[in-house]
Amino acid sequence: MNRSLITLILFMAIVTYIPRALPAVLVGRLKFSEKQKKFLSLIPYTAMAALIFPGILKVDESRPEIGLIGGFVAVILSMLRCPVIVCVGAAILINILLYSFF
Amino acid sequence: MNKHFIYGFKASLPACMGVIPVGISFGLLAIQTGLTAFEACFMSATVMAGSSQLLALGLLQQGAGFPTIVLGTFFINLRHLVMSASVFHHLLNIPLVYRMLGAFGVCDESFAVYSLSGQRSFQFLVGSNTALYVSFLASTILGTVMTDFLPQVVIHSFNIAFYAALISLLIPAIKNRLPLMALVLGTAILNALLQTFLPGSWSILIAMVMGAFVGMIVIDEPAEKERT
Repeated sequence: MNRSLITLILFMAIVTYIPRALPAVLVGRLKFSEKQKKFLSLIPYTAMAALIFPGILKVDESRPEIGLIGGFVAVILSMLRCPVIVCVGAAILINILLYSFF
Repeated sequence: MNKHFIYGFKASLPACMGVIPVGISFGLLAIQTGLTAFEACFMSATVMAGSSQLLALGLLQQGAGFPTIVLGTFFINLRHLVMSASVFHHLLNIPLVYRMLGAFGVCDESFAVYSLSGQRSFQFLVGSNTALYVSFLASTILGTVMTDFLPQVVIHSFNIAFYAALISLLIPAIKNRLPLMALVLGTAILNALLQTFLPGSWSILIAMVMGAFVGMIVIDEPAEKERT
């Protein structure tokens, strides 16, 4: 076992944990204004938006349509109130089909 | 066991399908990069942030120094600061030690499941974190032992799962709410523009903060849809 690699991993763990824990620790001592609460409550929506696009185009770097079509299937099915697991399953299935036949 | 915990655990299962391919590819690549199976699993168990772990492998392969890798990890995962603040401003009454434990598992997927399900229960968050943590660690282990018993096509096709899970969690929360849909579209476009000259980890952080800031000023309706 490589001891310096373990040290590296521990440092990675620490710098990843600090941003996760800091708000959890400080939140008791902070008073958020209505504006700040609104900002924080909008974060889920903007975070999802930024995580999804344009990353979804790079699901397969050489074939952007793989991500687009899979994402499109997920959008349509979730508009039709399908459960999340169905949307995910269908997106995977359509990609298997795309890879197998196109 | 607490019913909120179980509810959170179950609600995260679709998102786990998004985590599993990341864990498997990380496990596979880690072995190819020269890490031992133990080191790969140790990293998944302590860092638990797929994109930064994949970046670390890439940097190791290119012979980057440890400070570069640690700094890169820090910046990629800085977005969790904002997510964690968004989660914990509802959980003031939870004891500090529990909050600190809960914070360890905050990742993109658990954040999506927790905040878009309209749940405000700490047990739900822990249930969700647990499901995702276990599947990430298990799939890392799987990746390290897996040589080629799954067809490549199937592994590739699972890459869409992360996005499909986020999309199908997001859509029910924004449909019929035009201002939020506009905000989501605007943020996505902003992120695409930023990525033309910034690395993805930076643009995602900047786009989500700027998007929420603009939304805070522009959007009238309260963002919280109270659900009981």
